[in-house]
Amino acid sequence: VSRRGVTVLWAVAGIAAAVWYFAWLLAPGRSGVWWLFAALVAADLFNGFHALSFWATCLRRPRGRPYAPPAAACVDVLVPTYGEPLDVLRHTLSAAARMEGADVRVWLLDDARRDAVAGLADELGVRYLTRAEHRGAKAGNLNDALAATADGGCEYVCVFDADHAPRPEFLSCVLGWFADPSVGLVQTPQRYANTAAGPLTRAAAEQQAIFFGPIARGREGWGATLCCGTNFVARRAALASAGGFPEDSLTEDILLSARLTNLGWRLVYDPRVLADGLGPEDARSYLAQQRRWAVGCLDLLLRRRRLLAGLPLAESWQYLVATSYWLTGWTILVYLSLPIARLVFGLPVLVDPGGAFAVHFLPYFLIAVVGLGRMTGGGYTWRGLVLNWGSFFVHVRATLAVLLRRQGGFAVTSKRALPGTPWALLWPNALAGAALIAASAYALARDQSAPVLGNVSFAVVGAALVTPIVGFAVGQARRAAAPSSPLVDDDDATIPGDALSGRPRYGAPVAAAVAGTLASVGAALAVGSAGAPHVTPAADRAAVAAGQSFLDRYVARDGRVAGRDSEGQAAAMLIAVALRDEPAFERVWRWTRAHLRRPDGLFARRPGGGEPAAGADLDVARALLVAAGTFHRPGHARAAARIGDAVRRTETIAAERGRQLLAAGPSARERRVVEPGSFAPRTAGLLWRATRDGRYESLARGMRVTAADLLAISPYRPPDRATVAAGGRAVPAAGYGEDAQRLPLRFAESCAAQDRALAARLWPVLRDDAGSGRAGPAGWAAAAAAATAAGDRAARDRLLDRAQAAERAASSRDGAARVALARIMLATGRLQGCAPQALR
Amino acid sequence: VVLALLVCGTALRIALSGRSLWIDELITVLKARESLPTLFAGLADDVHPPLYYALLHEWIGVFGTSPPALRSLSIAWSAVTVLAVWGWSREALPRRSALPAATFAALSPFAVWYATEVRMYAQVLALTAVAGWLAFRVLARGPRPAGLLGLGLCLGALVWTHYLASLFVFALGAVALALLACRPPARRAAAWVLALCVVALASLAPWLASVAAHRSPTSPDPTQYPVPDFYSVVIADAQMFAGFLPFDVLGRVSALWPLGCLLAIGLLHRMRRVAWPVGGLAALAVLPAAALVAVSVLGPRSAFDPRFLAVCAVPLYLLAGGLLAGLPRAAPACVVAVLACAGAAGAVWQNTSPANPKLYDYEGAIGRINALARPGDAVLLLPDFSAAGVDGEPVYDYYPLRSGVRAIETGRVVQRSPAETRRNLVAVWQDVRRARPPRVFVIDDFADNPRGRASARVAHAALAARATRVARLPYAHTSVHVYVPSWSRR
Repeated sequence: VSRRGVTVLWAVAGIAAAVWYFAWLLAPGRSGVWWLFAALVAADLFNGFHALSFWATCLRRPRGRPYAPPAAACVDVLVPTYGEPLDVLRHTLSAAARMEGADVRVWLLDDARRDAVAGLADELGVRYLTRAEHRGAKAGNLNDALAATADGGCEYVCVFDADHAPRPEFLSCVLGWFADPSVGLVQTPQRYANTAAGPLTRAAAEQQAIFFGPIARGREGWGATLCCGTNFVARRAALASAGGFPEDSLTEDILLSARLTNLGWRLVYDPRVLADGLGPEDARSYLAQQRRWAVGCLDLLLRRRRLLAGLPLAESWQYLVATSYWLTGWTILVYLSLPIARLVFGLPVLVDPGGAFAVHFLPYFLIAVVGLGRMTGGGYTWRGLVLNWGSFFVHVRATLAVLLRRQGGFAVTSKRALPGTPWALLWPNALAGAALIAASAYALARDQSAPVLGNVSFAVVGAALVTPIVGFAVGQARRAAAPSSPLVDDDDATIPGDALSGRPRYGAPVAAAVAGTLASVGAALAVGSAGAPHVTPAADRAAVAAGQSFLDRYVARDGRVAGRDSEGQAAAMLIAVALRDEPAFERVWRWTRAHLRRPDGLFARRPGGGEPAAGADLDVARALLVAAGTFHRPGHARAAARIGDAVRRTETIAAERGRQLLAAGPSARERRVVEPGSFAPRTAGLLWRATRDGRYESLARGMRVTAADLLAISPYRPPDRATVAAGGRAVPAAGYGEDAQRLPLRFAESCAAQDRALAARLWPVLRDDAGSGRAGPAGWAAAAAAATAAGDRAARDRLLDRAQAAERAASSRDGAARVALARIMLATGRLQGCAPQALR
Repeated sequence: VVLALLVCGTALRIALSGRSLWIDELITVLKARESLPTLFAGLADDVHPPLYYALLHEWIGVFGTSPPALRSLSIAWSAVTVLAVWGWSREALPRRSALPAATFAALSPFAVWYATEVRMYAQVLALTAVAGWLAFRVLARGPRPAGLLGLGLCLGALVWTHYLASLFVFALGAVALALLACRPPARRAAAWVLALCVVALASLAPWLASVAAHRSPTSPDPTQYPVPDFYSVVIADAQMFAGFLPFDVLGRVSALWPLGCLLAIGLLHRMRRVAWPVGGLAALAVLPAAALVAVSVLGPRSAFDPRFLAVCAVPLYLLAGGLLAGLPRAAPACVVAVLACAGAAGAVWQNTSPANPKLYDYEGAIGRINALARPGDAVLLLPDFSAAGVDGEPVYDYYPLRSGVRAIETGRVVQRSPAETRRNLVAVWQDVRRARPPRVFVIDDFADNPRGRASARVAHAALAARATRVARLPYAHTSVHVYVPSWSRR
């Protein structure tokens, strides 16, 4: 049974469990107080509809694959802005300008008419557009830009929000879809890259992940892809036929999707992550964003039903699911109210003899929870659910706003965390939690019987789901209000006061959000409180160039790397995944698997069998782990776990206090020989994260302790080889050569501060090498690593350049690989390492 | 650490092994003391297969019949359980989970109770743990002759120890079947495990045929248990960790089930890919219970008793250990320490507290009668249980009455209704009249459950018309009532 087969079986079981539950619930004689029962049934039926729809959506596979991109395409890239911080804009515009695969014309659409933004556009060489009248918010801004660029404009239009930076390959990947003339728009996922900002941002990212993961893929399978407002490319003709972006809705993207579909255009969803965005960093921004989406969708559902009338059945259903989701808050309100009604007023909802409710409800619930975890690939956690419950009152208010025609206007989501907790928005959550706890205490004081305890449990569950958002909000607000933050950023102080016109209700909070942004921009990054590693575009470009140079020179079409050994294959895999080059990665992996894999799951040094090399095995596992996330291939993570397991079983030496030491290979295990250069604590950490197997922690600890032992012995450099004595102490058995020169690099990129400190200890020693001019590429790279760990960025850049120069002077595969990996590991986070953190 | 756990657990078991035997243990001892042919013939009317009885028969021959000697067999099996749980956990789950799992096996009140009971449940737990460990080892590392042989022997021994232990074998077969379908690398091993499960179940067929052939028309039907509801199952699961707390406490604990939903939500991120050992353990914990409930609800008579779910205990310990191992780094050690202390305290409590519904102090009751009775007095045991297939009275057989005190034969017929109880008692009273004892000591038991209390009420009402009750001496779930018959008053 394939994995998909299991998913199908799971969905069938879920449907059976839902039928089992609802057949029981709707049978005569279940009702307690009829109106409470009716509310429960309505809420459960609504959620049941959404659960079944989710399963049905997830079972559908996306249609088709993109063709090759057109040879000479022209794309107008529109980046609307309305008060976003300059550094955010700079990042997005730079990234947009770097896109490959087409003639790219970047247009900055500044609705706030800021001089600083105009200056930025001038500086970056992008076109700058502004307009006199703020009509139609973002949609109006885009429409005006479409009109302004119509004359001689490109065939394709690409839209990015100001905080969504495309990757260079964005257009190369997307434009191929337009070979089909019926394709009007291609949407790509939104991914939040700032999840380190705190639990709220992380939870918001999880919600995005579920939407742009299984749901969007399934919708594509059903032919009901929705435009999501950013990270998409549209055919200009399609937009023109739909009359541009609808300006009379807060969710112009969904309305546009429906119009395009009605006009016969095909909308495509490309599931590859091709842009990195910023999620809301405070509760006010998050809730404002939720309100905007809720009002827009409910407006479509409740007031523009005609829109769905002409659509095919599957698409109508998907639009119904997408828009009615925002009524979920009402069901949560019901679930929160029922325990209070029972505990305080003694009003029973159900007649439940002998726990029949639990017998019928639990299978449905558990299958739904496990199915959710499976289908979202673990990307959706309790945080996402907590955020969903925490937004319940936003949904309720949005419904009322739509029904009372007080929808407000388009609110820009803040791009920086706002200080202060938005109690005006969170009081319903605090009140609901307090009411549930108070009701429980009141009931328990009078009666401790099993039925009361059951309802108290439901109250606790409700409180546990609805109140954590308050904790998230307070925590992130504190972080935003860090005392070291600057008070004002002059660049953004010029945002016009009418930025929020038409949204009186949320005007003040969003204005405060923008003002708060001013208060924290700049210094927050400078002191590192934003938590983002410091990666400069120039360093990133240099790393990509070095990696690409290696792939071009040493990797054959069939995936074979010059030298045909596991070390080269592993290096190529790491470089390919760091460059997000999936085809190259797959080719190299396929060749490695076919020619080097041994029966025990490890990789022989050369084709035809033989001893494996522990360092190369770990690198292959590392590359697969990173690829699993980058290319959304969970199978790679499983393969990595298997390799890690094999390494642990056959290439480790047990040492005292439960430590595991990485041997040089299976035979070296008996001789207790280790190669410090093969130590890779970050790889062990990633394997631990993927498998939660504590033995990888032991392995990382063993690497650290052994390295510390060896670096404490004169000449205070790691040896190429060492032997491990009976007590677990390592003794050098060779000098400091090219093998050992890997150690500083691998420890400098570790996310454990102790490992980076070890690499930093080498800086005074290796600095001398740097001065002597004797080192080759590997030596320069090692010195650069030590400099990075010691926080000396200038030395790092200088030494990396020298390493590259040395490699050019005497070209070799190993040298090129070492230079590329050093640039990637030390100057970027592309392999999920932490070296740049030392430079913050 | 596991050895320390083993030592502590064994010391605790030995310290608690001196309590009075209760009626099931007394019946077991009575059977085991018979010769093997008589024992096997009697088991045709019993609800258990013969392996444990035969083993205990031999054990008694070596160690004697004192309570510690009788209980030492179960204590030995429980030591095997602790070690096997440790090994199984390390095989199936992250290594850190082994310690909490072994702590549950060593010190949870449930495990301690059955480790000190002269019944087959300690053997069931041990064989479950060893069979599960071997099966997971075979499935993870491939079939090897020694492992397969051990697994086959364990599974066979399991079904020959308790009929309902076949639920575990059935669940293990289902796990193997699932792996056969979904996990190509483990296909060969899964096929072996599945085949061994089938062979183990089939091995019982000749015995079952023999039992059916020897069963007489007068043999009593198996005990009718209450049809289970949801809370029965939750209480049974709670007992596996908390031991034999009073039923009202467990009932309240079971009402907290919605908190389990919160736990499931908290584990949402782990549902991405449930590793087969975790899924397998969950199946071993859930399938036997589900099967027993289904049989009890849908079948002609309920067979649901919480102790029959003992086969689920070990997988549950492993899963709980895995859950605790997922806590932040230092937490599991603290939790294990707390669990160990709480478990030991709970085990001591359940061994001494009259609130434990499984504690029956026959030793105290008979000892008091022997102290008070004079020659010529009679003792009447009001039975509310079946002792089919044994010759003699198990209580008096192990706790003999002093000489000169006459035990009235009660016939040991289960009383299904108050009228039947009353009729039975009137018939027995005829024997008492003929003996004309000066005093009659009446022992009633099973006062913990409603049916036992109802039977006792009816019996005492019938006795009140014929004698005067002058004293009531309560013991744990047994009472001694002293009656003075009308002829003595005159």
